[in-house]
Amino acid sequence: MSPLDLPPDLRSRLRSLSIVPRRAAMLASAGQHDSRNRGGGLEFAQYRAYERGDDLRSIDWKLYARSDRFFVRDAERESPVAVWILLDASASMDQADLARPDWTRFDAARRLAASLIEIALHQGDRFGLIVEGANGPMVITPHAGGRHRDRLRLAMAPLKSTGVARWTRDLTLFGDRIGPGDLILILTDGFDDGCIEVAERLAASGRDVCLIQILTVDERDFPFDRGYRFHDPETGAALVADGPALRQEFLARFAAARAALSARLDARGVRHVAHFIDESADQPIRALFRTTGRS
Amino acid sequence: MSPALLFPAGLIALAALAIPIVLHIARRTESRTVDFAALRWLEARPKPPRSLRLEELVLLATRLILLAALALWLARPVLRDVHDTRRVVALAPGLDAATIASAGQDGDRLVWLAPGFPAVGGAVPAAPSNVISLIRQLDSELAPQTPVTILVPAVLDGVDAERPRLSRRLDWRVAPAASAGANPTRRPPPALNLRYAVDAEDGVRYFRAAATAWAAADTDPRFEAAPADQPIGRDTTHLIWLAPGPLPAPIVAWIRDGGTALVALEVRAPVEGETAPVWRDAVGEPLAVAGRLERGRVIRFTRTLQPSTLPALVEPEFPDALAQMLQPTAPPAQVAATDHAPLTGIPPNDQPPLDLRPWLALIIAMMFAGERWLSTRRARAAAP
Repeated sequence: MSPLDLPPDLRSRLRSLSIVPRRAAMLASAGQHDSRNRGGGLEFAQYRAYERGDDLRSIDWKLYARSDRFFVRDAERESPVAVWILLDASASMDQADLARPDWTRFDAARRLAASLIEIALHQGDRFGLIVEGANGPMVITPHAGGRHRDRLRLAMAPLKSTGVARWTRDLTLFGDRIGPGDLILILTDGFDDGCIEVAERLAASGRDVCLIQILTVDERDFPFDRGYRFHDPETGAALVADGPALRQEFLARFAAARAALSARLDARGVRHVAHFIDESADQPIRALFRTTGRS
Repeated sequence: MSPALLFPAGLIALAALAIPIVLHIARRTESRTVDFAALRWLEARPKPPRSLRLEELVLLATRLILLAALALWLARPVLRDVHDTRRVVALAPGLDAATIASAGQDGDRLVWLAPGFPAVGGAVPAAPSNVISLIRQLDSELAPQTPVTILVPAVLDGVDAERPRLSRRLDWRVAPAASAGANPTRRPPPALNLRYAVDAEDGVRYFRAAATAWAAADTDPRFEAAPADQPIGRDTTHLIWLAPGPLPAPIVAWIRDGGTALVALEVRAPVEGETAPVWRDAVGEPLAVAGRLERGRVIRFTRTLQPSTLPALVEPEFPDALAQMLQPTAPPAQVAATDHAPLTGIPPNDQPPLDLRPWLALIIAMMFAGERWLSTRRARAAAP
């Protein structure tokens, strides 16, 4: 099954979820989010008849002069929050499990991205995508609407995760393209130090950064029961060792590394959650936005 | 009961046990490559000492047992001193039914004294011609500790001149025979038919003299002499042929049909198989040899029929010797069973050890089937 095709049960669970920024949105109040700005939309959408309670300022007086009727200019109001999805497409994302070799970490990340896009579309937010791969970032600027959702899915479908992503090189680009109030969701395995640094820098600049660390089942359970040649696809390093002999030490060290990463992100105010690729895609979203969820 | 190996060098085949072990260990050295991005948290210390973990222990055990059983099979395992200590009751065929029914108690092994020693209960085998030989065989085939009872009829046939000697003291019981043995009757001397060539008529008189000697005092001798071209009568049983040259075809056909012919040295008579001396002189030189021709017998003198070369022709024993040649009488072979109880005194025979290879073959077959099943079942991941 393609990672972009969401199963019906997942789709139904996603309807009850929402993407919640930490701070109230600074802009217009058209979306689901609170706003301090009372301005209307910028783009004209349609005329409609005046109803009691409409703001007098929104009446089109020129049209009244022509037709002797009150008409109100309705605006296509832009959503105040843009949701940016940063997708890690480095070679380490291409790792699959022993038990399920056709479901890679990247597949899980793309399903997660598709789920997030679905939620953002549902709540009327704009959403954009940055894929950080070996050949530089691919940026799709945020828009709202179903057609934009399809555009993103079309862009994600042929993606392959290869090579080494150079996050810090593209840091200035991220700063230019991502607005100061935008919500950033980074989907990565968290093994690349540059990626964590980018998350910290973006958070330090006042943006709302969330990080979903996508881990494989092998990293959680370490089910290697014989000798293997462990190969790191990004550095090319390899280690030949017996699985059971490594297991205990690895699990301890990996748990410590995750705890260290968690502490580091907490210190910078980056919301984060871990997602194992055998879990359903709605679980990390629910966990990530639970504490600040609206009633 | 002691196990032993008849061919211990076969255990060299146990070296083959290393093959499956190596196969099952060799899999450990081969390691598959797996992508693992969290490599930096794996221990970078040198490889831990490779533990000799064997995979698929059940399959390995099956293979080891299979190979060990094969090696043991080559080594020819036997069990010594395994014997049946039940009492053996051997019955000679020809006993009456009551004796057979009351022969053995529970736990006894009842066999017939017949070739192969069939167990009592099946068909009654034919009476053997050599009971004493069978008793000797039974004695040698049984362990020294096995008690033996032998039931024989009152009269034994086909015995030797000496009482048999066995390795054990056996229970010799004589039962009343089901049928009374026939009394031997004296057979009448044969009627002689003689054919001669004209120039060999000299020899006729010796046989006429013999026939005259056989006849009773006031009867005519049963003797007929005629030239060789005269056909022989239908009731002829014994023919003396004194015409040199090959035997004519009708005579040969008559011999094949069961006749007995005594031919002179110059006669060429067909004989099948070996010939054996039937008449010897005082120093043991054969004077006549006999051979078979289908159902008939051909006896041939080894010397010419002249007193100068065959002095026995004119001696008083010639009629008896001639009768014995033409109608050989068997040596006395009947004895009252009570007088023929076996003696003891020969050393016991070593019993052949019990061969275990048939059982090993069964184990090998089962292990092979199990190994095939284990190694080809569908749930198995990959070979060794």
